[in-house]
Amino acid sequence: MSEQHYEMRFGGSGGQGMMLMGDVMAQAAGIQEGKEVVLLKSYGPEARGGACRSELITDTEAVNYPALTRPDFVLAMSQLACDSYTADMDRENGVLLTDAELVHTVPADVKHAYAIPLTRIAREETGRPITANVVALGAISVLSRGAGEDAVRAAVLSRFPEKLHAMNLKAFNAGAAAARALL
Amino acid sequence: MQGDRILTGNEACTLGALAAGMNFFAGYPITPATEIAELSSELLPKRGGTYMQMEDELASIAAVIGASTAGAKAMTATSGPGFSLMQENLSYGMIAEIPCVLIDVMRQGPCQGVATVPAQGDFMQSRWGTHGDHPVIVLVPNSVSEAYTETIRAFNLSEAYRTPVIVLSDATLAHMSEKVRIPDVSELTIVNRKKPTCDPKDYLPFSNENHQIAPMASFGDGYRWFVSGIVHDDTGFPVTNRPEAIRDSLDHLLGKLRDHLADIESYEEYRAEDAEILILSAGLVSRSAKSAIDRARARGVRVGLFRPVTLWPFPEARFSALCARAKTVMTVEMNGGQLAEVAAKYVDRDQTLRPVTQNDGTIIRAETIFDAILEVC
Repeated sequence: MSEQHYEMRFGGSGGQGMMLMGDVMAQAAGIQEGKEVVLLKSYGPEARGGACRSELITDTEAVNYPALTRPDFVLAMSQLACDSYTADMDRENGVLLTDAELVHTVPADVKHAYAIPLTRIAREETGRPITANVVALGAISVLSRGAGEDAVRAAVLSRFPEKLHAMNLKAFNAGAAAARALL
Repeated sequence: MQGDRILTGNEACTLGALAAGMNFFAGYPITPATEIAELSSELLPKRGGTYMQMEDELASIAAVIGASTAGAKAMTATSGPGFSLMQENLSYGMIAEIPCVLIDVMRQGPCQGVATVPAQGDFMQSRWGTHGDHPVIVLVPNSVSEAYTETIRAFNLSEAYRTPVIVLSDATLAHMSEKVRIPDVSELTIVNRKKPTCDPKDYLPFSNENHQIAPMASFGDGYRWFVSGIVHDDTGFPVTNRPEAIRDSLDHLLGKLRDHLADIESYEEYRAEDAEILILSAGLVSRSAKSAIDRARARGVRVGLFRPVTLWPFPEARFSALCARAKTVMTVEMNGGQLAEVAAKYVDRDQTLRPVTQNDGTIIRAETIFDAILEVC
C-alpha cells in the first residue's frame, strides 16, 4: 500500500448506475492513467431499488487486499446509501458527495461533505435523469483523487456508442462545473 | 483484443480458456461461477465453438469429457455443490486420460453453504474428492491476471498430460475486477495433445512406457479405441485379472505427473529466502499475507511467504527446503486448516505450526496476519 492508495465507494439504489460508475472509474484510473485498480461490486437481488454499491481501490503499487478498509471518497445517491455506507469513511480527510435532493441527512462529522443536485442537473441538462451518474462522474473527477477529469471523461465516452456521446458529455461537464463551483 | 483490460476473475478465466483454444463448454449455472458459462455462451458460438447448457453438473462434466474424446478443448465451471456432483465423472476423465479443464469457484460450504461469499474449503476436495488413487493437477490463481494465465496453463497441462486439470478460484476473485494484460496471440504458448500418426492397426491409446503420454486420437480420426473407466492395459481393454497390468496402469497414472514435476509445479516465494517464520498460503488471501509480511519486515521480523500456484501436486521439494530453515510455519487460509494439515508433514517437533484460519466468508485482513506474526516471533 503506497501513499497513493485511494479508496472510493459509489452507493445508491439499484437502477441509478452505481455499477457502471465503478466500471468507468476503474477504466479511467486503470487504463487511462495506468494505475493499479481493484473493483468490487455489491448488490442485493433487486434490479431496481435496494442499496447497492461498487467499490474501487486505486494505487500506484499492487493492491493486496481487495476490500475497502477506510474509504477516502464516498458517493451517496440515496438516503439509504448515505446511512449505510458512510460509517467507515475517513472523517478528517475523506470526501463525501451526496445528491442534494435525494439525501437530506449527512453525517455531521465528515469535514469535506459536498451536496450537489446531481439528478436535477441531469434532468435539466439532458432531460434524462438516468444520466445523473454521469453528472456524478464529472463531479467526482474534480472532487476525488481517483482519476483526473480527462481520464474519467475519456472512460465515460468509451462506455457509450457515439450517438450518446453528446448527451453524456453534457452531463459530465455539468457535473464537473458544479463541483468546481463548490471548491 | 490485446492490451490492458479491466476484467473480473470469471471473465479472465473465460478469456484465458478461449485464448488456450477452448472450443467447447458445457455447464450448469451456479453462483459464483455463472458468469463463466454466461460469457462462454456469448463468445463460443461467434468463434465456431459450442456452448451446451446441461441439465445438471453430472451431465456437464460428462459432456466435457465426451467432447474432448472428439478432439475438443473442453471446459466446465462450477462451485462447491456442483463440484461434488462432478467427482464421479472427474475420475472417469482421470483413468481414461481425457484432457479437460474444470473451474471450481469456491464459495462457503459445506453443502449449499453460503453461495455469495468466498472460502477455501475445497483444497482437499480438489485433491481427494474422487475415489481411488488418481493423478490431479490443481492451480490456484491469486489475482485476476493469474486467473487468465493459469486457465491457459490448465489447458496446456491437461493437453500435455492427458488429464483433467482443476482451477480453484473463489467468490471474491471471481467477481472483482483488476487490470489484466492480454498478450498478443503470438506471445502465448499453447499446447495441444499429440495425435497418433501410426497405422490405426498399431494404435495403442494407453501406451505408457517411461510414463510418456500416449498420443490421443479423436473419435472420427479413423482410429478405433476403447474408452473405459475400468483399469485397462495399453489397448484400453480391462485387465481385472492381471495384477501386474493393474499395477502398471496405476503406476502410470501417478507416475506421469510425478516424473514431470518440474514442468507442472509453480509457486511464488516472497521474502522467503531467510524467513524464520514461513507462511504457507494460496489464492487471493495470500496477498493479505504479503502486506502483513511487509509490515513485519519493517519491524525486523524475518518472515516470508511460500505460495503454491500449483497446489497439487504440492511443490514439496522447495517448501520443505524453506521449512527446514524456519522456526515457525504459519498457514493463512480461509477454511478450518486444510493447508496446516499439509504443512504438518514438513514441520519437525522443535518447530511451531501456527494455522491462521478464518471461516466467515471474508478475506483475511493483513492486520489479523500481522498480529499472528507478532505473537509467534
